[in-house]
Amino acid sequence: MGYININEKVDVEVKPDKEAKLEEFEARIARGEKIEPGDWMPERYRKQLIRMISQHAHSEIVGMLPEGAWITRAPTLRRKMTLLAKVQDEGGHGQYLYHAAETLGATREEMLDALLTEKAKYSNIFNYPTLTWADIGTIGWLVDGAAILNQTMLAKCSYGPYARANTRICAEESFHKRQGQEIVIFLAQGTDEQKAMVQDSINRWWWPTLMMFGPHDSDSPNSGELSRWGIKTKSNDELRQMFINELVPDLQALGLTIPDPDLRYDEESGNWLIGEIDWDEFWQVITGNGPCNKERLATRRKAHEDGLWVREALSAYAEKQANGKAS
Amino acid sequence: MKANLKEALAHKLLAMADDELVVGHRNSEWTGHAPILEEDIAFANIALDEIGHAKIWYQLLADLVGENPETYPDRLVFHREAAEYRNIQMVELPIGNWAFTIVRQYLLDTAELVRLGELVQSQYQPMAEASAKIRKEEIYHYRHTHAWLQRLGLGTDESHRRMQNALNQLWPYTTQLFEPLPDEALLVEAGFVPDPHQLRLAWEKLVLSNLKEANLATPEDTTPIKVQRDQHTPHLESLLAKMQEVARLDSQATW
Amino acid sequence: MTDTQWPRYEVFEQVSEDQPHQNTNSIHAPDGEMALMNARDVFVRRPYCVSMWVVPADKIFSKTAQELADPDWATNSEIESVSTSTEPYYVFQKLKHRGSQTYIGIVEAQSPIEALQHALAVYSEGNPLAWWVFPARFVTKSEPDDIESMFDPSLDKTFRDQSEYHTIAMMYEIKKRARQAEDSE
Repeated sequence: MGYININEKVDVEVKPDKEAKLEEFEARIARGEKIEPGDWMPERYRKQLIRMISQHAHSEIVGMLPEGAWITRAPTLRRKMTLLAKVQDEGGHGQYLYHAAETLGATREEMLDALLTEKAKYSNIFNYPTLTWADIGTIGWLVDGAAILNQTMLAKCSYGPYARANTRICAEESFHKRQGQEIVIFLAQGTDEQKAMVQDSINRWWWPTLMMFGPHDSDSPNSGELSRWGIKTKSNDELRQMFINELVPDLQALGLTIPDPDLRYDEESGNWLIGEIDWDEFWQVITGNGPCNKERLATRRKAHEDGLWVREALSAYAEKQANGKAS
Repeated sequence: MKANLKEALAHKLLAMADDELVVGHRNSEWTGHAPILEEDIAFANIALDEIGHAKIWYQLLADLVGENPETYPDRLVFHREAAEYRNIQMVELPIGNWAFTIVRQYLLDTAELVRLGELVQSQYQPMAEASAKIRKEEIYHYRHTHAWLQRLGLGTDESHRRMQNALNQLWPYTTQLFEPLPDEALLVEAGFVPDPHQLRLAWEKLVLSNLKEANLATPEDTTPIKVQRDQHTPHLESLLAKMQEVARLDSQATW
Repeated sequence: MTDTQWPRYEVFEQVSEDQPHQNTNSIHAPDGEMALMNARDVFVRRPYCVSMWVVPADKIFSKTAQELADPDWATNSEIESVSTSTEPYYVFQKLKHRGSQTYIGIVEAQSPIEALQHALAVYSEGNPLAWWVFPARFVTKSEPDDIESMFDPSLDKTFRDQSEYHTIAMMYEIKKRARQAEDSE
């Protein structure tokens, strides 16, 4: 509510209520305050966050599938157990994220429906198939490594529940990255067949992982607002460069090559510079023409439909129990 | 320890380990396909626990026969043929629908609970200690599957029908749960394991009472499957073909 | 019957016996017992806790300090019905903006509004930013006996710790050997 001190002669323009609220909201974010459930927020902020968070959640859930497919084939008991624990974590992360979206007013039913009817998106990277055991290592080290960079940034975002969910996810994800790296190291130092297997894996996953960071900054329309609202505090290209600088020396040290003939080290900036990203492939995959899009969603749809009688049965039992008690 | 007693113990440990490994493997197949997200997470946990239990028994076996407990379990799991496995047939059956999985899990969890309750007093110290540890997790597994049994048995007509079908299919396989190994009598005599007949009675009492509460009945005319643990269905071979696929690419390689 | 993802339950965890229960997250479940078990499976992978409570989200009566500043908050609140008997209500408070709802104590009341009025009289020290009250009968709790089977097992699963994977040491050795090989050429 606007308060004007009548004893003070100031040039104050009486602003409409909403604009004043928006200003205060942005000032809070600029001060580094967290926005919590129940606080005033612009409708656009709320909608953007629901979209981002639910997409993030869907990615974790769909991401369980390409790796889950290799649990049955993991070559040692330790690998089997750690992969199971990793995939279980991913389910847990999806769970934390759906909860964060729920605090903004979204419902699980709505979010799930959007995913299964292809209205909602999830991270493109999970539309690629896992063809060999080496892919499990590559996904852990590269894909989860990339996700960690993004999530570390999001752990500082302005919306409290989302920031906290990302903090928790980051803590758990560090073991994912390490177990993936360990697998790649073992393979790269192993037999000729193992080396060939992991090199082939890197060849297939390198560019899709780079594309995970999103279009170049120059091609990203939403960035300004997301940055002002404390949702995106580092640009796509910034995060991508951090990733490249970390992975290239390590992969090369293991005797692996990066599938990029234009890769070069720039002395002045200290950055590894890459060749051109094939964005046509990115758009093909994200619009549903990727190798696994249909399969992934079909699997989730089937699980959902097959589970209908189960969910109904448990709701019915709960109702019977409640009615029994009420009498 | 006398040679024949040691051999009997080795057979028993292998049997227990194989049961946990195969059912853990089966349960891991549900990851990403469960009826609701929370159950995906819960079931992955059960599978993880079971594979962990298998590892404990394989390591005990390694210690007993003088093998390296760090490497022996993997050798047993990834480089044995189906004919060398000593699990019961019930665990190698495909996961089926949710009702089938829940009923199977329930029958196994109750058997485990009853068995471990006695094994904590085993005269073979390593077995008593391992059982105490495993039992903690089994108590929770039983709580979980019992809750599911109850809810699906009593929920809707459809869930009840599916549960009863599953029970009809699985009941003949339960004979094997407490069928003694050829040399098990030696272990009972030494106080290493409890009398399987007594276990079976305790198990039946528990199960029949739970089933009744869940409005489920054991089928009447069934031919019990009374085979030795070296007899397997074709399902085990296809399970192992998948499980051992990567490891067998190179048995000398480190993964 | 329409398909659902089951109702939402808020989850409260007690990290150690000398700490109060705190709201950590929520899960979906059909009833209290399943909610307790689901919460355990989803949240007690790590870190540890000794006690867990769950309550259906729709049974929680919540008010912020801002809403309570309105003198007519009680008459303006919508509640289902007032019971004729008194029952215990759990009271939770949020003291810091970034904090979570933390258990403070129990009051006896016939309705959520009355419960909150009692709580305001008794537990206002610290100027809470928000309050939650709900009847004790809707809460499902873990028992002390459950610690062994529900919470202890997660302590053994050390493969979830990143320190189990010595990738940093391995990469260091590999790079060192590569440098030495280069130097000797």
